[in-house]
Amino acid sequence: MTDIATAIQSLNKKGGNSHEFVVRGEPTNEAEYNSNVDYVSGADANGTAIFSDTKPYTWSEVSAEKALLQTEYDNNQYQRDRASAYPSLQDQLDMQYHDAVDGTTTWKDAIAQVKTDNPKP
Amino acid sequence: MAIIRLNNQSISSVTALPSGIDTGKVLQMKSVNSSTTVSISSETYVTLDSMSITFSPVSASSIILFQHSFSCNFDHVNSNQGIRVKLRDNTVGADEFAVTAGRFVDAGNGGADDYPYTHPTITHRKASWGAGTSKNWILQANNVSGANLMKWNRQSVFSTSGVATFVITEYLE
Repeated sequence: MTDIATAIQSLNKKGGNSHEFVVRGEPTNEAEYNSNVDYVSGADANGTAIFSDTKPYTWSEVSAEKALLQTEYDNNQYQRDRASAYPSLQDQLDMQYHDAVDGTTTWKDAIAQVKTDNPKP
Repeated sequence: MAIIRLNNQSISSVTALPSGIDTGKVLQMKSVNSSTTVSISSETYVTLDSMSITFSPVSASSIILFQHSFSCNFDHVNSNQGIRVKLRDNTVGADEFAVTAGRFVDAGNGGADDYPYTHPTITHRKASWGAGTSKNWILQANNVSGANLMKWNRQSVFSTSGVATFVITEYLE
């Protein structure tokens, strides 16, 4: 799950930019993007942000980036599921010790089971 | 109908409290709240639009207590992160109080401290600025590391908005 602010930050990173910005709420269309997202162009004497009249990224660019990030996040769901399903490192070391001493395959079987239960898409 | 004048003054100039009001009593309270998250990557202060209260003390000898409670998330702590909140007298355009409300320092451990969360309450105490004198108070916030993302009024990074509150209380001390 991602949001517009994260998408703008991603566009900044990809473009090597450092645009500072403010997002109020979660814009879902171009009109909301235009009214609820501001980019900082400077500060007044009190240190309060001055906002730019223009936006460095269009709604199309930002919404497309958000969709891309969401797809990447969804595609990596299996990694998060596996990470939480693997036995603890202590348990895995214990399995490996007993496998080495007893000639069993407990550790390999446990890891394989987690991968099977949470397949890569 | 005759107009009764108290001590030969107009009603508007009667500002002293009646006798018999004990210390510790609340004279008035005003509050606003917001369920809108404001994501800030700015190192300059941004006005939190919904956090604005116009307040007029009823007593010249009271105490005014400002309180702001909110949730806050930081996306990544691969560099130092923090939020500063400023209370501002918007009537005269002067800063009243600023505080670092949350601060996280890069632990240098490969992002193990990603997505920290805090729910601070900020308080500020001030003597009454005069009975019947109205002032507009606003809150502003900034991100001490603008390269990262700070989400004011967010319960957790992928969760819903929180309910931020801004309360001004006038009481006798």
